[in-house]
Amino acid sequence: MQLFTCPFCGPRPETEFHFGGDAGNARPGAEASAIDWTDYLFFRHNRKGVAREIWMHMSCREAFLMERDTVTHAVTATHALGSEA
Amino acid sequence: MSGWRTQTGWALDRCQSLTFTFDGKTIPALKGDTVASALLASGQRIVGRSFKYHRPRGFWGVGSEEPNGIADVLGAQHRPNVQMTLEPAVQGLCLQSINGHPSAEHDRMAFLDRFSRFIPAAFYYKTFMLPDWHLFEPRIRAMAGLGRLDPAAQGFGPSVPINATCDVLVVGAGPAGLAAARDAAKAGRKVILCDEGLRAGGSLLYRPARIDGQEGRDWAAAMGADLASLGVRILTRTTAFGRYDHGLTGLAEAQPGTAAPRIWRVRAAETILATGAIERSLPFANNDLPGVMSAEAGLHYLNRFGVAVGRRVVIATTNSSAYDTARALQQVGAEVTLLDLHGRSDAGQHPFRVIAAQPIETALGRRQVEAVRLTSGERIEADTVLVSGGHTPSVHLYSQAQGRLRWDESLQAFLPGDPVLGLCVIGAAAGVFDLSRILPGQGVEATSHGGNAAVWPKPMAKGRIWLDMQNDVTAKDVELAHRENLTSVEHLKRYTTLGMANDQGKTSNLPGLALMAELTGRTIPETGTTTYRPPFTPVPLASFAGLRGGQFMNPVRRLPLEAEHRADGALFREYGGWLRPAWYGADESAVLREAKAARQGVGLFDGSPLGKIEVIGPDAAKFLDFIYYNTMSTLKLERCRYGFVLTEGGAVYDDGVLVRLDENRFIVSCSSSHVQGMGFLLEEWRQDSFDRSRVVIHDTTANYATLTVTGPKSRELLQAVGFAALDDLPHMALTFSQFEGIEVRITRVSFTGDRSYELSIRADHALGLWRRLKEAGRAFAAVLLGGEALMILRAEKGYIVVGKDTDGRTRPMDLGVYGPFEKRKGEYLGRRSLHLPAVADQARDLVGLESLTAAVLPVGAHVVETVGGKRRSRGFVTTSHYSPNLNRPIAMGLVEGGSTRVGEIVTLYHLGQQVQARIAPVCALDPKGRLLDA
Amino acid sequence: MLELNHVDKWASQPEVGAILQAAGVTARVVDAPECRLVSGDLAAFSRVSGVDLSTALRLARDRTLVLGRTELAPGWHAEGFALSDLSAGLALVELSGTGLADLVAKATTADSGPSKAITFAGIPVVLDLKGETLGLHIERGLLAYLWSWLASALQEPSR
Repeated sequence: MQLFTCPFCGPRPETEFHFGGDAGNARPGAEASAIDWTDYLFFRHNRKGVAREIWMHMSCREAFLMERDTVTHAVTATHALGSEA
Repeated sequence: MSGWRTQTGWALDRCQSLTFTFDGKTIPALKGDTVASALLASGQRIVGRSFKYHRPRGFWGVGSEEPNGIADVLGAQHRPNVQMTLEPAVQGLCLQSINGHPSAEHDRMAFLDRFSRFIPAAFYYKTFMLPDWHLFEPRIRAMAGLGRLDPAAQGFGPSVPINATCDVLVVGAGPAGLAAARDAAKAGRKVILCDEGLRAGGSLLYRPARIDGQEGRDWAAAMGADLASLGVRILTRTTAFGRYDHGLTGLAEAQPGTAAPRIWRVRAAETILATGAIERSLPFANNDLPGVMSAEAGLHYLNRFGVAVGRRVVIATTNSSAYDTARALQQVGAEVTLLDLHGRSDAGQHPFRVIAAQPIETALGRRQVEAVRLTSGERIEADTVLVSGGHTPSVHLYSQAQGRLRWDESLQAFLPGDPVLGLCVIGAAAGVFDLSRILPGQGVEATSHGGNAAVWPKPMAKGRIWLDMQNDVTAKDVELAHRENLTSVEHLKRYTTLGMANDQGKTSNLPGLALMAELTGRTIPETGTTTYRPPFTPVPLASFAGLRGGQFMNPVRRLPLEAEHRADGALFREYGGWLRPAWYGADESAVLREAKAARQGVGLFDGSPLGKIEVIGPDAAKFLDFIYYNTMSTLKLERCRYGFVLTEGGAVYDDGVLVRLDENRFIVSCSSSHVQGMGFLLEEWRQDSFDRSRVVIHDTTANYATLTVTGPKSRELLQAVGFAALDDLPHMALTFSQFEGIEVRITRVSFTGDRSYELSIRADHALGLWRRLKEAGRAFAAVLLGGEALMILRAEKGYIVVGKDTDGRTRPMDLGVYGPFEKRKGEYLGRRSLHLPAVADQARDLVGLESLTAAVLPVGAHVVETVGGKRRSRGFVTTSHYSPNLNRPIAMGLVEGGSTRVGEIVTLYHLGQQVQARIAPVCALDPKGRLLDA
Repeated sequence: MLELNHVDKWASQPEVGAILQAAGVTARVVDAPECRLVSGDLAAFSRVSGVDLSTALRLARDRTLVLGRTELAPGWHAEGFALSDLSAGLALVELSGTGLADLVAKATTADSGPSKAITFAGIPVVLDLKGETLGLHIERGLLAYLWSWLASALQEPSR
């Protein structure tokens, strides 16, 4: 059972979190080509090693950025997104 | 000529005797015995039959490394595959050996050993194949296998896992572990110490040693008391079975009775592994005969459990630790001959015969050891052979933590290599065997280990040399794997099953890979080990489950009015995670009655699980325009609008009604089964694309009960209850009223196709309103409506249920809703996907399907066409009921091109049967919607 | 053949006032207080309402559960926050006793930190620790499940 750190709540068990895809997978604009749009929908980098991912802490519903090593499972950083409310 | 009880054995309480049965035989024991020690003391040699060849087997070891001594506990306390070396002997315990029929002593299948030539490793890949391997498999399985599960048994009782955090977790309470725990505790850290044995102490419980003038055992006891007073939590009979991510270690603590072992999930800042080392066997022919045992086990049984394992004992060893065993057995009167394979022959120093550098060639005997023959040709009469080929450090948890092992040539062992963060390995587990080095500066007097030389099996050796005793794997099987070119350790393991049994190769992995190394001309480190995985010893699934099972599995949500529905005779089923009335009454015929009565008069339905997610803020309207397929910002105050929420792939994710309470406040009335999903969807997009300080999401579903009043008489009923001015309330609008001082939101919206009102009131005041509705309803012959009848009513109107009438590909256009796709300018979820041609190519329209007979069409039946000789599916039936209001069957389905094929007859295929149906409009009743205003 | 009434698979919902006592823990179903969900600029909410935020149950960076009544209407407030009523949506179970720490170790894993929203016995729970008494605010539809879980966890043979 991994331990992830929500930027607000602190360390919590992995079962409280939901994976939200690669960070930086920005939603293309309205005139996106079919390729750009389907890449956004389906293409995953699936990096070996350090990955930047969006996760949501379901208990508090905070979406945040996690830097994680997909091989060693070490979590190097978690960052809040955007400005604080 | 076997084991006997001695006067030694500090663990025994000689005043408390007891008995248990083994294979029907009554075995005497003393309190403090394990089942194994009592069996050995009673002279029982054969305690099981081997997996494949049904060879007689006796105990080899004394702890969890034991490969042979497994039995089933029978009766009320039934547990299969129990390790007798760790099982305390208790009065009345009833044990059955494994794989021996009728008993281990006399086994009907013993003849199989004579055919061993035909059933080597992996025989099942080459034989027993034709004409059909299924013919042979059940018989082969019945002949092989370990314990037997009693289907009538209760199974393990529950035990709830415990979550614990600490500064330091110490695994192993031998001398190294005890010292480490004390150092950490004295430094003020929170410490948990665990050990798989019955008591803390490790090797000090049986190996002679003096520490600071104290007997080793007394020192260990004093340490235990010291640790307890320092607040250390000591867990015995607790195995650390697995190392997991982020500093988590899983422990399994044995429980009394039939409760499953309790799992401890320990998250420690630092974990110290003091897991010790396991003694290695020696390779010689027939080294699996009952009577061949670990030298360390021999010492352990004698000093702790008061059992001498034999009377004429040959001890073969590569190191000095076995001398302790020799001396101890000699002292209780056994005849001891020691073979020092390292070549030391200071014979004069010992009261027993020492032979230098003469290995054993073969053990002799039919059902147990009777003699050994050395390579020199000399034959020595013996009933017991105690072996020590050095020790293999237990590095399992280190390896599970992704630690890389390094081969130590001098110790002939894999040791922990580079450090792993948060983990350190000490004592014998790190290759430090001498007590004086484990406890420096504490005046240690103990036999030095004297090197850790090993004897590995050699290729082309004569006779059957056993490596894995649990799975009956010999050196010849390794050679077979090599000949068949399965030379990687992972292939060797799977092909021969070496290391795959309960004991997971604790005594067999290393000799096996050492032999393969030699066969392939590689070094042992080049050959490497197989991947270490949890659990270290078997842990029942019941331990991991804890309470999650039965009523605790996927808990359903309960209605505020459940007790009232029960009193009204409701039969409940699960709908979308809630427990709800399916119908009211003794049997299912109530469903048709309810559906008919509701459309003729008035029906009352508890719709409380309906989603009520509030979206609030100045940006709420803009936000909802993005979320919904339909434009929502134009929705007027106190009005509602039906809409779809799409996935980004363009499929309909949810449908529902959006209610606008004011400029900045909306309620997303999503389907009851989608509330969690919609809540997360809304939150995700709020944070991704909008200013979270200007729109918030509040799930208030649980705050309100929603009571639906539906039917031509619904307005009259509500007026009779006291809700006036409903004449002016148009369809898809809402108003606020009061019931006994509590606010009620009345929304005029219909899921039945009839005039219908949904009353939302605080859940804690719902009972009063519901009862008032029922009471007033009597004058209108109001009927209580369950979920099944509601499904018929909506099906008559062609109203969809997302996930039933839609699937992961269904787009709004497939449901006939084209407007936003054609006209909306702004961006919304899934918009781009709707314009992808590939998505359109796979479209299936939702249509009605009319049965050509009186029979109801089967749900899931496929609309089939024969194309080029092959039957192809063109869609399927999604909803199908008998309609009591139309007096005929009705159905809906997703059909390719269906909207252009209305009137066509199609063929449906289901479970081998074909039936015909006519494509019809999706709404079967009142297509103009006049009933909404009736 | 008698149709299975699925409601019989689960224990019925406990009433307010129900008590459970085992393994050094007393559990009580208590009347849930009035409460409001507040999101947005919490400091602004505190100013406008006069509610001391330290008495509320913080759930998230910008969300808190305020116990008790307030005169503020539900909906959006121009000062920058939104308010919704949740008074009938939650049930409250109070736990106390010497066995409380052991029970909590079975129900949940980590320290809750600044947010009081955690997973307890597998479901979302809002914790309210008042002195020696631990309050569990749960969605009212899950009260029966939690109550049965507590009974089983307290009644299984302990160490």
